[in-house]
Amino acid sequence: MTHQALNRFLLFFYGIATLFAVLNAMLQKYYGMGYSSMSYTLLLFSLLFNYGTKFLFVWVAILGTRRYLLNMKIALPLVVAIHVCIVVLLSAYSSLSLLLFEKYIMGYPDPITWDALIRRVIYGSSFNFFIYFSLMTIVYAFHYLRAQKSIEIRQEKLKAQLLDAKIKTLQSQLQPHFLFNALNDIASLIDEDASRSQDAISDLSEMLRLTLQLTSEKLIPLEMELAILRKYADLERTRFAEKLEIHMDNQIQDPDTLVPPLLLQPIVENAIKHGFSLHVDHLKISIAIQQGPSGIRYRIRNNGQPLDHDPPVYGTGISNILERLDTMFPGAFQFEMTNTPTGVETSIQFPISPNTDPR
Amino acid sequence: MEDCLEILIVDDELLARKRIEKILATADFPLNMHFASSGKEAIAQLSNRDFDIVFLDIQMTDMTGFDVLKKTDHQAHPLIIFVTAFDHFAVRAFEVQALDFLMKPYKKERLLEALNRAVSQLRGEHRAAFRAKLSGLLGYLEHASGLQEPEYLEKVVLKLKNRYYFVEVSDIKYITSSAYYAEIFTRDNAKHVYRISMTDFIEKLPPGKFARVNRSTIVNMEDIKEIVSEGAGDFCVVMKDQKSFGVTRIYKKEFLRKVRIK
Repeated sequence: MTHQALNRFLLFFYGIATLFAVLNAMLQKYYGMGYSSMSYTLLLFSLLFNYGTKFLFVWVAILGTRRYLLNMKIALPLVVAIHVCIVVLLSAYSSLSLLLFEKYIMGYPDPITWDALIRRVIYGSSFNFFIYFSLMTIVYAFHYLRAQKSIEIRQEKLKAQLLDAKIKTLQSQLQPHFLFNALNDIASLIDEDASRSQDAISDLSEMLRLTLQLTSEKLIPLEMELAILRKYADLERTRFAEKLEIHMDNQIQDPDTLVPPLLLQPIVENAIKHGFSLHVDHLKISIAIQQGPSGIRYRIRNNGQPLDHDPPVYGTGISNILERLDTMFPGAFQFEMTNTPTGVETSIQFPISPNTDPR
Repeated sequence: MEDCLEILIVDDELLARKRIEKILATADFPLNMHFASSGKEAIAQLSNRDFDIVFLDIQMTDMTGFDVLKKTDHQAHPLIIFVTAFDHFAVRAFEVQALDFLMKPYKKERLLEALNRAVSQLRGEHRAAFRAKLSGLLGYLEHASGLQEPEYLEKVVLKLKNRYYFVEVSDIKYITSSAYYAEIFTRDNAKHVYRISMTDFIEKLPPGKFARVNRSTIVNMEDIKEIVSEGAGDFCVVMKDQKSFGVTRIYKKEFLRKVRIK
């Protein structure tokens, strides 16, 4: 249901209510139960005036509610209080306009006094209350369902993106260049240092296993994210030996903090892939992880080849990271990949508790 | 074999060099081994000394093994044994030229077999044949833009103020340039602004789907409705949304080839 459909529905609902009121008044007059002093035309006119002016007020209230009230985080009792105040105002406004209508259009002689106004307000308030809250209930139900739907859509989107990330990471871990070179190095390491070669086999297996274990979990413990990164870093260090330095500097208070999976490893992989060049034969990568009250910050710096575009054109790996962050923390995360005087720096910052409910 | 053979082992990974060294040490003739840990080092070594056999890794961090060959003068003409972890393209090239290559990880026997074959080819007429194959290989590679299949964009990531937008490349109808920006028009009739030059952009787009028609326009070929000849060899493309772009002379040939019209 779109906003337009909601508008149409509200108009329809109010129109039916008006029609009923008109029919009711006509029948009352016909059977001599009231309105004997007015002609049918005047009766119709006065009812339409009453409902019309009321509707203008209610419509403004609905617009205001949708634009401001629904977007603010206010406690329910306060919301109810605000709406009750609006109903009182509605009654006052409606009563005053009716009194003015009667005096100036219909030519009633009665003066407009406080007393007359208050009587009118009391007389009409239960009806006003009823019509106002009926319309507001429709508005709230509509927005609630919509929000619910968008959460569901976001959850689905996230699941799909995560699966995508997992496949991409597995692909890069099983990427022939990485895998076969690693296996070749392990073959060589067996002669050099049997126990180191066993470690390397274990690292390779662990890294694949951890990645395979990521099912559709939206969040994993920070510890696990770091474990995947560490295995990967160890393997790359084995491969490139003296050509590659990877430093990790962790300032973590709680290793069980839940974080989005597979953000760090693809960035480090990217740094290795693009960092080495004709002029950079010795690549230094430093990874700093900071955990503060407002969230987590990853900073990955390298002394490698600068980006050829700044801001860069993101490839599939990085655009997947951005898409997941955008779904999980809409508007509340920061991602920066820039050239620095000494190389390239990537920084990711996100709040600890994401907007979606962790399961 | 009376002389001691001069061997150069080129690989950017220390352990990979060591593996070759270990296996060569078991060969039943004397070898004098040298090492290079990068393409640059290999070039320096090759210009300093004559080698009989070179074990050459293809993907190195600073350049490819082929770059090394292109940058060295071939006075000495050593026999090259290529070593690779995985390269569709290079392997195809080796097969075309019937050149020997090792796939990592390899067995000891396989490496010794390659060594023995190379040693048996060290004599005059074989060397000349090898040299011919090698120049054939380099010629073959000359036509390829790069060793690896380039990566094309699947999604364009746009950042506007604090919001990110992800535009599926397959949803792009056409791209026009204005000053330093590219304007992306998508099938849902939205327009996005992206800071990139047209030349850089077209390189990132799958060439089978997108074509440049003039200096400031790239079109998705699936969104072309018709190509209208305007006489005198001039063409213009009309898109499905009725927008039309002129095809200018420098891009005409390439564009018509892409849409398969002579």
